[in-house]
Amino acid sequence: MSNQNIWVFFELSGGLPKRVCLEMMQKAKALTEGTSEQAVALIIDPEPEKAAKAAFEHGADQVLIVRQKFFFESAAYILEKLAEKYGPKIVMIGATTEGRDLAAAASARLHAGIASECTDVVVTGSGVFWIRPSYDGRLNTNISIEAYPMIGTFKPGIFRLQEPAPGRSGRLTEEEVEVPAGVLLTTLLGFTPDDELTKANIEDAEIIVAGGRGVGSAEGFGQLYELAAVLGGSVGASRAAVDEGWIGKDYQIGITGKTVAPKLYIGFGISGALPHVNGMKESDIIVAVNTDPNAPFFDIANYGIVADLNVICPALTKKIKEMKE
Amino acid sequence: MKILVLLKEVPVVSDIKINRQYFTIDRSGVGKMMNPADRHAIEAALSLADARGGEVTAMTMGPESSESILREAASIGVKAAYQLTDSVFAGSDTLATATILKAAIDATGPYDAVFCGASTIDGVTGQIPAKLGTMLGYGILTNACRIEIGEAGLTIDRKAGTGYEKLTAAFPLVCSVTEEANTPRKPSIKGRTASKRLVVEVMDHEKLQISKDSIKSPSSIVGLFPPPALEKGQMIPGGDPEAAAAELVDILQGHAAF
Ligand SMILES: Cc1cc2nc3c(=O)[nH]c(=O)nc-3n(C[C@H](O)[C@H](O)[C@H](O)COP(=O)(O)OP(=O)(O)OC[C@H]3O[C@@H](n4cnc5c(N)ncnc54)[C@H](O)[C@@H]3O)c2cc1C
Ligand SMILES: Nc1ncnc2c1ncn2[C@@H]1O[C@H](COP(=O)(O)O)[C@@H](O)[C@H]1O
Repeated sequence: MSNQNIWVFFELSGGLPKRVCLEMMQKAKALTEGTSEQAVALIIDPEPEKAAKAAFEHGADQVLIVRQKFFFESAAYILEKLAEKYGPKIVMIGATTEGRDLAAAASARLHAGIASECTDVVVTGSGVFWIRPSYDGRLNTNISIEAYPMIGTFKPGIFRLQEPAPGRSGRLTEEEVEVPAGVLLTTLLGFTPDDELTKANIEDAEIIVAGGRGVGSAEGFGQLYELAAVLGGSVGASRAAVDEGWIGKDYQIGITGKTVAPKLYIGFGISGALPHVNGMKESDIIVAVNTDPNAPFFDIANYGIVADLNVICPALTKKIKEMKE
Repeated sequence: MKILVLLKEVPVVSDIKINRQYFTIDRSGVGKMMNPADRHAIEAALSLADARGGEVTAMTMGPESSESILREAASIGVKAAYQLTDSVFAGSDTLATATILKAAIDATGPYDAVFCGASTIDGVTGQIPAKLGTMLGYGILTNACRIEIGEAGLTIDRKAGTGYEKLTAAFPLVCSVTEEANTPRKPSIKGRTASKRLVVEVMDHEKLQISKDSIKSPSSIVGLFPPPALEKGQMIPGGDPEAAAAELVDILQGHAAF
């Protein structure tokens, strides 16, 4: 059997797909456009309906559903069995906490080559090429995998989410896979929400106000929190600011931190080094404020202001506050 | 208890020089060190040995130079060490690496617990723990930021989005450890002597009885290229901060950005 089709593994949260799955779904659709291949969503959940609808609206030609509770060990087993049955060419998985474990376990089960934390995948007549940043983002690596299926993981925010097509639909297939008891050796005991981690959950933020070494101190970040508050956004940081101890590691944006893609990103006192830029360049609108007119950030920002952040940041907060009153 | 900790020697990535014109990589004079998270894996392994009795063994797959991280581990309290070194192991991807580590664990184990770092700074994949756990048929606890030692196994907390997940598994298990999980102990005077005396057992594919075919890497690097340049935008005059703020707010509103 020759392998075909591009699968996207759907991870759900509260019955709805995580954003990264929808981003990958649209990418899968784009990759199969004009070919005889299909974009397929795989959903493992007792209540897959809403996610299936979203999958179709984001480009799925077919949705495979398995009505079972999701856990990475059982999901890897199910993925193995379904991949053996259908022979996909590519399996895309979100690089989330569970997604990483799932991808690793599935790769071990299927003896499938994997490219992890990719920033792109290119399908040409001569093969599939997986792109991932290396050497602190100074170079991109082009990886090829010699056998099917290939697994690739993608961080949230790598592909820009496009408008869905409401009402779009396709073929829905239910599968039943019985998972043997010996597969489940790990148990998820529970989830405890945490205020600090919720504040630092910048991957889902629509607006991010980020600060770098130019902010100067932990107190200096106070004005960024104020601006973020009036905008209804979150605060993020460069590694330099994190290393200085002005803000926690959970707020770090970049290749060794989080990848974000908000609608609006405003960077204060950040030089725009590649390892940072790699973690936010897919933001819809990028604004940079820096005293140095030659800061590399100005080369990629949509809007730049050469000025002291200690003046611009409060001025922005004041202006937006006035406007909202 | 028989406890294993997996260590990896990594380059100091920022030392690597890149020629931007020809995209060649200059690794000469680049320092090497123990992957930072692995230090915390050693600490977790030693804590388990302290609590439950038993010894900690370290294992690394890497070139000859990787012996030094095994000696470093011995200075902190690791008692035995295996170094998996073979020219056919060079350039292994994560699948091949996990396959080799599994063979070595089969040959030298069984172990009650295998600790490793949550991810490496050179590959940043975090793939090894769950791959290895799956191949071994062990419970898999990844990215631990807190570890609790129980009667029959371990319970960990890990960060997941807006909160913490709590997971548990019985022995035997694989546990990957983040830098937040603990504070690694320092080498002692006694440790320094132990480090010198440590007998490192070197193993190659023949000793491990693995065929070259079974450790062929399915993935390979076909090339390196510079990231594409991004588009440059518009500058807003910064001389008058009030005016600059007003102009930016106007523009952002035009985009319905907030
Ligand atoms: C392996 C590796 C991984 C890395 N991963 C990451 C990562 O994930 N994320 C990350 O961010 N970095 C990462 N880095 C570091 C990265 O290379 C840069 O060093 C870092 O991003 C610089 O942070 P910065 O821009 O805040 O600081 P700097 O480069 O020091 O820039 C500070 C800027 O603030 C400006 N400034 C100063 N005062 C003011 C003021 N009053 N008003 C306005 N502007 C002012 C200055 O002109 C300057 O441009 C990594 C590096 C390595 C080697
Ligand atoms: N070559 C190797 N030899 C021994 N342990 C390794 C090796 N590669 C990875 N590991 C272990 O697996 C962890 C995660 O690595 P990775 O999955 O490559 O990010 C590391 O922190 C090590 O503990």
